[in-house]
Amino acid sequence: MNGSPDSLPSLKDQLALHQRLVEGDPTASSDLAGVFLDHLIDHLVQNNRRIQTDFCEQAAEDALIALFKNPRSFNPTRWRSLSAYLEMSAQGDLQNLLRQEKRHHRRRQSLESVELSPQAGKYLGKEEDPSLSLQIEEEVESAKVQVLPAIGIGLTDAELRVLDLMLKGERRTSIFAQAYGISHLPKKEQKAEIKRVKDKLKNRLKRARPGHEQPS
Amino acid sequence: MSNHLDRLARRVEEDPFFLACYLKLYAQSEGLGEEMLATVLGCSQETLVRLRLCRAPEADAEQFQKDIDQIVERFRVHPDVLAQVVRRGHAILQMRGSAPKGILLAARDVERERRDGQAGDQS
Repeated sequence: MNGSPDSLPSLKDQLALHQRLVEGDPTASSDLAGVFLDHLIDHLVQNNRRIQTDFCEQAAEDALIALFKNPRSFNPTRWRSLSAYLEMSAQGDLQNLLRQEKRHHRRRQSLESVELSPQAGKYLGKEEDPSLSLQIEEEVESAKVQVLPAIGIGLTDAELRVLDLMLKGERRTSIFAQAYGISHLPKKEQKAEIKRVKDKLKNRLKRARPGHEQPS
Repeated sequence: MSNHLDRLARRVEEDPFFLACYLKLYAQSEGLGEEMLATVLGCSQETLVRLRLCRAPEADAEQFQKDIDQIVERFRVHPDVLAQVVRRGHAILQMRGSAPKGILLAARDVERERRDGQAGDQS
């Protein structure tokens, strides 16, 4: 499977698979894994090229297992397709995994630096306290995980691709245009259209942020 | 068959939510390897991977049999062996204190009903 949307079942068939899961068909998890696992791994690998494949595989598995255990986490009335939901969920799981990995790495480094120091940590003051930057990083990642599913609701697949790129820090209009499927338009129009989509997504990000008050 | 599916099937072997857990416990208790387990169930090794990824049958007697039937219908494995796999797995898990409650009673009820049915047919 190459992970392209063409290799996935139709939206109707995706919903039928999900319905079997909701109705408690014990074979539905096996069929869903058969349909989506390779696609999700390919999707994550293609969209996170700097990340080790192993993490992508684990995140794709995490997203599927979570759906198997809580089938109603996917609400067909709020998401355009099951594949879009799973892609977003797997991306969130990947960020979680990376956060955990960073935390373990930093703890290891921190312990090693204390152990190796002749003064056994005497000079590790506030400025060098690894827990401070870690704490900040964790809060940012945690906010992303909380916010991401809420932002994705109701977005088209093309908009979700743009969102993926934004979260990865992509800045090139040509890449956004390709993801959004408007590479054929003149550059000026591409720029204007991408700006419009990005503004829409930024507004959603702002609204979904914890603590954001809805206008009455 | 995707290697990824095989990897996922291995990963869930410790999770009683999946049939993989019961298949592993049964194979261990019988001293069966991959190939023999597939033979006993009457399926290919590829089907065995798919079988592992099924949800394990539910606890209550009626649902237990319904789940077994659905799995058998989908993967064409031997129903009696599959029921035995799940019962054995649950017994082992219960001894370890990690089985979902009620499943052994449910499995016993199904067994009793089946035996009663057979006795009724013979009389």
